[in-house]
Amino acid sequence: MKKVILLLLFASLAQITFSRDNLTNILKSEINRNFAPLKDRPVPAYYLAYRVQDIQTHNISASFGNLLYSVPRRQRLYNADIRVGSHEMDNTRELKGSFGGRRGYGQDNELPLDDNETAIKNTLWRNTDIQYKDAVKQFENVKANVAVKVASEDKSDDFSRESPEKYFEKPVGSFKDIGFDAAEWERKLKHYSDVFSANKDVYDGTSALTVEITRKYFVDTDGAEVAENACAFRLFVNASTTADDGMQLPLYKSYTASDIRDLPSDDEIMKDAEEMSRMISALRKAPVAESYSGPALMTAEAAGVFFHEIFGHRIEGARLKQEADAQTFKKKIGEYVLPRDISVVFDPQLKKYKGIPLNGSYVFDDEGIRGRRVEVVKNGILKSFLMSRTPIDGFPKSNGHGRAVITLDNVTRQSNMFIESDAPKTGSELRALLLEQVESENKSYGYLFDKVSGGFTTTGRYMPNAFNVAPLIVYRIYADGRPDELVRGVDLLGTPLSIFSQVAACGDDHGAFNGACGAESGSLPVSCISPTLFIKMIETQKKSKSQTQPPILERP
Amino acid sequence: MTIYNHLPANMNTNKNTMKTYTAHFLASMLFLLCASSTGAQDNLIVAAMKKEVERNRTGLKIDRLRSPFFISYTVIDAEHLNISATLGSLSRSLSFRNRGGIPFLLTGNYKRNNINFGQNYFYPRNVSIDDSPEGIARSIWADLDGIYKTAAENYEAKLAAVAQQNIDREDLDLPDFDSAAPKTLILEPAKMNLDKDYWEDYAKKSSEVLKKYPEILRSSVSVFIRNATSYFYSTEKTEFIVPSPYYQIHLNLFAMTDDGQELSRDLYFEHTAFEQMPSLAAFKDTCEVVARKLLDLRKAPMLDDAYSGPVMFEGQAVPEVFQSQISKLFVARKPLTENGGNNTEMMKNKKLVSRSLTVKSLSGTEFYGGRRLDGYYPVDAEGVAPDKELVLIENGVLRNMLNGRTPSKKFPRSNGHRRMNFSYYNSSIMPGNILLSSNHTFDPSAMKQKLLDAAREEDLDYAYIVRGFRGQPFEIYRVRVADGSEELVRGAVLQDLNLKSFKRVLGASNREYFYNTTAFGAIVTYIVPESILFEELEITRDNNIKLKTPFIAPRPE
Repeated sequence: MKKVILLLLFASLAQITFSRDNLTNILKSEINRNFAPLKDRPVPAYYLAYRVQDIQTHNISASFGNLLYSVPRRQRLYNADIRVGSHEMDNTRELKGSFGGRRGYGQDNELPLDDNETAIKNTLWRNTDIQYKDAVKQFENVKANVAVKVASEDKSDDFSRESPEKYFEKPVGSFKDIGFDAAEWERKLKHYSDVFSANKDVYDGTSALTVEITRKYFVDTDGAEVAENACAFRLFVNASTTADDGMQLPLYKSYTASDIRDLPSDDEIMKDAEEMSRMISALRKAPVAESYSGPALMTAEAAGVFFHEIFGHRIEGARLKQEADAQTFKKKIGEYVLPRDISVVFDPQLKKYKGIPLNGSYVFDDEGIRGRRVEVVKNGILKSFLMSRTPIDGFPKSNGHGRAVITLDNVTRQSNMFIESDAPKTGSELRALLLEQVESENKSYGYLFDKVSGGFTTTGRYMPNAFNVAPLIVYRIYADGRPDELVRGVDLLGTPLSIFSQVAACGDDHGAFNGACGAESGSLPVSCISPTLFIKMIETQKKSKSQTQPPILERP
Repeated sequence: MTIYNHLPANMNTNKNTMKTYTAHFLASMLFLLCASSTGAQDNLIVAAMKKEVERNRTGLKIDRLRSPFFISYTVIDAEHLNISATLGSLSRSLSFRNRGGIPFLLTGNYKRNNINFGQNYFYPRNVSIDDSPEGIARSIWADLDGIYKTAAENYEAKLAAVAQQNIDREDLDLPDFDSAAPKTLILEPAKMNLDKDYWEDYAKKSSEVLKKYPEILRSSVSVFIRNATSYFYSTEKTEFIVPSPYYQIHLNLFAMTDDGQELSRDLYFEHTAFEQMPSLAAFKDTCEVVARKLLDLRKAPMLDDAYSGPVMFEGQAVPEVFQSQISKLFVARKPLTENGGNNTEMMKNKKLVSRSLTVKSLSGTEFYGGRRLDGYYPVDAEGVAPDKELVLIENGVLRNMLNGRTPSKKFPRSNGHRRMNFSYYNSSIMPGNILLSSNHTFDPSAMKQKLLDAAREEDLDYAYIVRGFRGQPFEIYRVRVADGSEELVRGAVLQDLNLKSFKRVLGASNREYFYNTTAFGAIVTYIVPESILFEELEITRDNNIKLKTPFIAPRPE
């Protein structure tokens, strides 16, 4: 990791000479022009920010060797954050007893694709006016709500005070400039998905690629100016089948990179697709697992999802301010929340970890704050939270984790998460620990969760504060030395505090879960690097399944 | 929905101005040649469909449940161009091609099968855009497997539900699906101008003229073009390849009055051939005309009175007001064990509207009065050709309703009006070309006098003329009875407009007005009198208008 940090430092130094492009100039000029009268209104605006994303995408999908679509698109979308009142109390404060959020999807948020000053300024002016008036209305609601409801437990401000930064990256350019050739990738995707043509057990076999060049602009009335690029190549190979009992059995493999050269070779992808095809046939014949509680191993990739859902969402600062949130870890700073050998760090600045490209990387967050490394847990002790510009008691500053898709408001979100252990075990040691636990409980087997599709969790107080992780490949590991047995049809579930007390050991390996996380501020790219985990007791339940029979006729 | 498509007298179409765009034209022709040369391979799609549909017809069977007796499959192959510009700059430019599959499957028999019971919605599936028989067959296989299982289950549930209810004999005897004779129709792909550079330039340049009107707060010109071809095969041995070309230009304007009323205006041009679309010069003129009209409306007084009396509709407002009631003429059969359906059919051979009015469907008519009718189609989504002429209302009396192959008590046979729905990739009952005519007509110049006379008869000081309508009037004039002077007003709503309103019609213009609109991505053409005078309608001020406060920051320079 040190080498990567050094490289990033070098890259930062290269940006010292600050420049600005035309769109930033337009945004800057219009934000100042609009803010001038708004800050002198009876209900003054005290902060205004404009975000623009110029997004070029190309989506390609193929199925069983045939192209389904290949669609390029470019959009330039904008969003504004306007705050009235003061840092201490403003229009964004949660209305107690209300389930509504702030704003929904933006309207009329399409900007011209070129720097047509008149057209851009017109759109910004019109929408700023609408949003200011909405903000004033909302602020009056906030004041009334504060007057009639009980005092907030959290006394922190509504908006943090930050030192503005200026940051400029040269535009990346077009798809050609990043080495992407649509025709070549159409051929590749057809080739990858064609692997499944040979296996009649595969009912749906596809490959898909999304290439995205996003140029993100941010200006605000604090003086921040950011123009940053984000390139993403997201490649998926998917296959699915239906077991005789109607259970849908999907498998996928995803590859993420910000540089096309970091995607795996065709040979590697083909090999993965062939393995997936073999696994599909094996899964169809695998027995259905029954409900279980007992010891389990969770491979590095599966553990990534586990930590993201169960731990990551509970250390997102803004969430801990909400009265309806269970605030699992809010009052546990300085306490042990994980086993003593485990540390958890978030770092959006890292683009790779030991050669693995990371999905949740950025230089600045969507509030114009530099994304910083945050040591959340050190040797099991909770040290900090992920913070956006929404402070909580004891954490008045952002650490650059305010994130949102362009059409939604920012909230605190995860970036790249790293789970580390200072007492790692080898794979065989972990297996031995598992079997020892199995025997001590007089069980005949434990579980290995090898691959998962994702998961979800609820952090509120109204529903049980639980999580669910959806495994795709699960093995039984028998105490009597029988070969590991592939099974299907289980979901992993539990509650956060009890499951962490059961994490007994970490492996010396690491694996990445690169995926998209969906929450209040939209679907955002995130990563989690984790070792394999040994958990003394997990709980599973039978997965819900379709009642539809497999296809009647053989696939053509 | 769409508003008017009325070409001003000086409006040039691309037919007259194509030479101005020689380079673009040549480029687009090059594309057209390519498109034509691939046409020979297109039967590969139908061949693949035929093979896989027949394999499924004989092969789909679960235990004691019946196999399907009817299957049809449609592949829609479409190229799309979607461009939008504002004040001279592009804000969207998207072009892509896709293929969607639409399966339809019946178990049981024509008389009793799985439809007209419960929900049968099916999500469309992407079909390979490669001309691969295996790729196409795989989509068909996956679709038919899914809907066969649903259909077989639905059919059994329907039989059980029917057995438990005392259903009217006539309803029970009504077949669920109408049979149709086999048909083969292979048409050449449409020759369309999908030249992206040409249309980007068109959108940018036309939108740029609106820079002259700072009171227009938001404006856009959007171009949407779809070169779709439907490939159809059914187990009745009907097969067709039919193009459905579609061009649309949409002008959208938004302004605000000094008292804070938000006003928007939409103008659409929708046609099936490039030559019918307005030239750039003509469209730029139109943009300015519409902008000036919107600015006139900004200054117009708000309606401050309630009115009940004669109202005349003119131009675009005539087809739009008629269109607002057209669905009453669509057959919608009541499902056997549920509520629903359209009871208008019970009025068959009874007076429905004024005896002066006749309504005909001309969906199978390609040309009328020397003009191309864009709502024409040779065959509907169920493989039935629509009549060249079908009388729907004859001198006020209901004779027919638009129907597909789902029989109703009064209209048991299809007249070919289940059209392809390009918005949701399924099919719906929709008109193609509709002719509304009157036997009580007057010169256009006499129509206004008729209005004033009728108002005078009611002791009214003024009457109203609606010249713009989209669900409610957006361009309405108060006409003084004393001198015929007109005043544009805003904030008016029509109360209780329905099909009965057409019972009391005092007269119509003897000049025809052609109008295109789009329903679910398919063009519908209306040929209507240029004006129509209703004896009595109620107009009041719209109490739902929310006035906005003025802008705080000045408009950018």
